[in-house]
Amino acid sequence: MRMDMLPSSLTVTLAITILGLLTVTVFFWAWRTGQFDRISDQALLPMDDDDFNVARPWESAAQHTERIMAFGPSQPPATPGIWGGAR
Amino acid sequence: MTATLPPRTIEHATPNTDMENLDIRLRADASSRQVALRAIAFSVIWLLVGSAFGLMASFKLHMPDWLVSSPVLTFGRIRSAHLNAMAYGWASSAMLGVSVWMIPRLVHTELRVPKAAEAGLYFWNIGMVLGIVGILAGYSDGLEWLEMPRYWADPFFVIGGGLVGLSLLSTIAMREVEHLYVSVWYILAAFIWFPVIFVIGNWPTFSGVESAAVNWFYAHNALGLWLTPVCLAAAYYFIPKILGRPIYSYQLSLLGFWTLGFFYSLNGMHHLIGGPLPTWMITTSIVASGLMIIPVMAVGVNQHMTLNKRFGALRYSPTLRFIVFGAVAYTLVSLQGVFMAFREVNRLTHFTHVTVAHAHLGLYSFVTMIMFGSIYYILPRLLGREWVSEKLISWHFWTVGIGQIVYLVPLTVAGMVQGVAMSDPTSTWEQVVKAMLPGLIGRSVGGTLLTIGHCVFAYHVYLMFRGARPRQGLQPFHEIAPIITRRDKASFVRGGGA
Repeated sequence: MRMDMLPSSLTVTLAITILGLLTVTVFFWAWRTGQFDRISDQALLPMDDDDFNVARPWESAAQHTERIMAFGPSQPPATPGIWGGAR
Repeated sequence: MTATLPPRTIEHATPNTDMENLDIRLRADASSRQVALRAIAFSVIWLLVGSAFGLMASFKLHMPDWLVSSPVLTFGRIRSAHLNAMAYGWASSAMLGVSVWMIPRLVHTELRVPKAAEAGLYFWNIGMVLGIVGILAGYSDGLEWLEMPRYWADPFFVIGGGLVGLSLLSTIAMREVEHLYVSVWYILAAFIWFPVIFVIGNWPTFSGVESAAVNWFYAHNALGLWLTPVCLAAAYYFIPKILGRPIYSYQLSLLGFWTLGFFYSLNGMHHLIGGPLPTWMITTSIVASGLMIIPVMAVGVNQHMTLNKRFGALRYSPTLRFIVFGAVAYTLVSLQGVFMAFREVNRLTHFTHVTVAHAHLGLYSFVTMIMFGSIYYILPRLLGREWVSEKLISWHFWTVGIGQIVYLVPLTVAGMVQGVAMSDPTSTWEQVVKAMLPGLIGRSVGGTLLTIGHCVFAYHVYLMFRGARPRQGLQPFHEIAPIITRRDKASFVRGGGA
């Protein structure tokens, strides 16, 4: 390795290495602690019941039926405000 | 991968948990309320301040004799004040508020050490005031994205960001769910990455070429490892919530997150193509920039497929309208960035207004639009009342939407004309400047529209804080769809479920 390639790049090389090692460490921690288990189910984490069973006015008939099949009868929005009232 | 709604399974049916979960959620919201509201208020003030500086700087480019009597109002100071007010004042303050609000909801617990988060927010904004005053007084550090005085202002950012980070990391550590949703990953990573890059970027011992390299290491990562992760976290939270369906592919979302983490930090050196740095260093950066196609496409495809055949939702939800605009801009700006990193393209675009347009496509069309959308969702839930006026929301969206097109298109074209003209040895500098003039005027017209939109938004936020209610009798979001009966996630609760 030519040492004259280092003076202007050593700091950035070390900085990128630090960031990379941080990311690798957290990745292996995530792996060991089961964060990659049941991945598809994790998509439900932010969702609440109301997110699923309230009717969406923009959905097609087929999409509406799909929602009813999955989550039971949907509730109509109680007021227009539920979507921000900014139609 | 699936685009269909998930079936309910027996393990999700956990009776008698609804009220408990509701209670958890309400306590989570209450715990973050004060900090989030103040963060939003601070951010809107900085939005107005930054807009005023930006507009002045833009007009000065085609009216160079305007406001030149005072050194405070010269282009060099005003332009730096604009960038810092927008990146650290508006966007970062808003991101602190959105993160503080979102994390307790996603990990099902109260915000821990909220006093630290609140103190951190104040420290951050004191740093902002000192930094902007310092820049206007002529005490800039002279480094891109790091202009605020190193010894006056930056310690406040370190302490402030550290205190908010402490609160968020404590909350995540004390979480009531086993798994971390992708939005939590993004926010967690942002609050780990940012202190590292900020301290390295501000380290006072670098000079010459090394200083330039460290500067662009910081400046590029400030967008990619600080602003980007929190905004993608918001997009991954709000899009499924509003559509009432989980994201298209959770695997793809994780692929996007981890590849961003592994590839992005190598990108910054492409800003120094042609500079006196080792060729291997620049080439490595160009290759890493090309690899960014993976996380960008992962995010873009995932969000598009989640929204697929449901674009009608954009007519109903202002949050979705702003956030989808921002998500599309993320894909565009990232792909544009990949191409601008190639030597052949960079040779034309470097030192031109194409770079300025590119930065605004990122920091405005992506980051700012997603923060607008997030605030439209969060504020009614925190204040317990609906936005006052549909018309004000529409005015806001259309002025900033059209404003961005009017801003970005002429400026990009002008930048290309500038690049071609500067590459021509027979062109004089005066000819180059004259060729850019229409684009610079277009930029000012676009900037004016953006500022009008910001004033409309700030007025609307002011009405909300004052307690105004909509005339039509719309009900607040939180009374209808708040929240939380979390039966579908019972199996993720620590110590419970399957």
